[in-house]
Amino acid sequence: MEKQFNLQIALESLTLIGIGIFLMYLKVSNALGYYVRPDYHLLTFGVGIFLVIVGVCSSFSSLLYFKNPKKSWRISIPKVCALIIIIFILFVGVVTPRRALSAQLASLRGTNQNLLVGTHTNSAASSDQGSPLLQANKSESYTIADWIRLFSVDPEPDNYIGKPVSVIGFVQVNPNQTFTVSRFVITCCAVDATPIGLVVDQKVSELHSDDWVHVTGKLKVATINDKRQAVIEPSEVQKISQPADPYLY
Amino acid sequence: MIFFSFPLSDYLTIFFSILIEAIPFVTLGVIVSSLLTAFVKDEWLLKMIPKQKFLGHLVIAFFGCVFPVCECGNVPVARRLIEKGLPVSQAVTFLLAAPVINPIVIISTYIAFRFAPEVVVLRVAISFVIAIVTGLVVSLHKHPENLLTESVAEACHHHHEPPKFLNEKISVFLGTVRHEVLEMTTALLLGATIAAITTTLSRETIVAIAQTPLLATLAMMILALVMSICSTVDAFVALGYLGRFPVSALLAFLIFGPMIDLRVISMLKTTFRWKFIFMIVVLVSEMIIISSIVLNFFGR
Repeated sequence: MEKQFNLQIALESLTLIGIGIFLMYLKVSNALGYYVRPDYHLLTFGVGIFLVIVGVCSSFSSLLYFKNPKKSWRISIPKVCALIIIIFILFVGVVTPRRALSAQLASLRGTNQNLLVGTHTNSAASSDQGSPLLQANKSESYTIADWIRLFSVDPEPDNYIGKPVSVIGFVQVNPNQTFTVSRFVITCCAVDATPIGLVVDQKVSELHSDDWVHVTGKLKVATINDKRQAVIEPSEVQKISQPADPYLY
Repeated sequence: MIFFSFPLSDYLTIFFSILIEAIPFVTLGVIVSSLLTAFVKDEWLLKMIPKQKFLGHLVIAFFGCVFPVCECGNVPVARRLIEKGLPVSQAVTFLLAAPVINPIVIISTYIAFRFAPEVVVLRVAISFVIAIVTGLVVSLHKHPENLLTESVAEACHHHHEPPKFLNEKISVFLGTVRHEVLEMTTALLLGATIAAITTTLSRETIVAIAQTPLLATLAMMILALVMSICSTVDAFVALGYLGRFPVSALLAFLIFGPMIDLRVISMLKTTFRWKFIFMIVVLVSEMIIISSIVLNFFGR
């Protein structure tokens, strides 16, 4: 075996290091929350570190003794093109501003009030002791997902009249110019994002789709599209900036 | 047109979410496959599998318990097994069975469907049968090497013994990881692009199609194809459709998704020819539709 510098391996190693750094960067800059569920964050970071280590070691091996017997020593143009595409996509991933999924997508997927959501807290789990859903006087601390889960357990809107509400979400404008305060719920990653929301009985006025708001008020019953449901009678609608973790789980 | 009315950021977010979710699992699969290359002798591996055809497929269907990787991780593993001398038909059984018949997926399905354990049993049992039947059908092919891409077919002719010395083993391990992670990532880009474009299309349309149980099954299969989510968590996604769809349709989602989705198809292309991939897709779809009809007959 002879010492020989190999450009192909060097380029591949650099791309691998690039992928690893990309995954680590997303974790460090708290951007992973836009893409995958929290359980995966540590694994993603770990794999990032692993890829960087492999990349660094194998870039040494591009300079050192051990020839990989399976590889030819020439540069393969299609492979290098693939590497360039990967690097370009990583670059796009780093430079494009991170945005949560939009209200338009929410409208198209249909903001569903009756969906049984959540991975570890489905309706069976939420009846466990210590669930916030059973602490009736703390309804201000419920997220939109908690409310929707509660509605799926007990769908009768009359039971919620007068309950205090304080939720954060983005604005989805309704056809009658009121709005829905919505969030996306993620099971695995942004692919399966499902929008959920509570209707707010107030004209949108100066609010726009995708504005993030903090809505406080009380629940009341209204009939929308021939369906009786609990809606928010707001006492205050405050515009806020997008939270660091835009999705619910 | 609704299609173009989304902000570009939605496509990008979904595209990257598929990619970022898949890369760690692909890497785990590549690590397994690279360890096999660098440290495991071919004959050790082949000794574990009975010579008799049916028994061989039966044993290989449980390999997911030994190499617990989900559907994106097991493509590099299957390819390595083929290169180490496993028949193509048994590799197909492994590819189809392993994403469901492994402890992680069974446990997560059970957690999601605690209140309906029959879903867990049926998911595992039907996946098992489909994987074995598909494998046996493939085993009837007279020239299985024609089903493989040229580079894989060629690699099968060489004998790959792991190197003797530890430093060489490590070098081979590193080289294989580097090469396969990049190859699979490249393949993923295509699958992620198509999936991103199609998942921004209306999901309610798919739900609206599902007027009869059979249509519901087809709708859920399309959803599984497009969403390309990992078999370790798909049970929780299926849970969201409980009540709106019959159990048979949810099962179609849970069985079809791990075997076939856009992401898997794009990665299978690194190993198999298009014609063969298409044949597997058709076979698997047919059997899922049939089993769904049978389940409907029993009122599920």
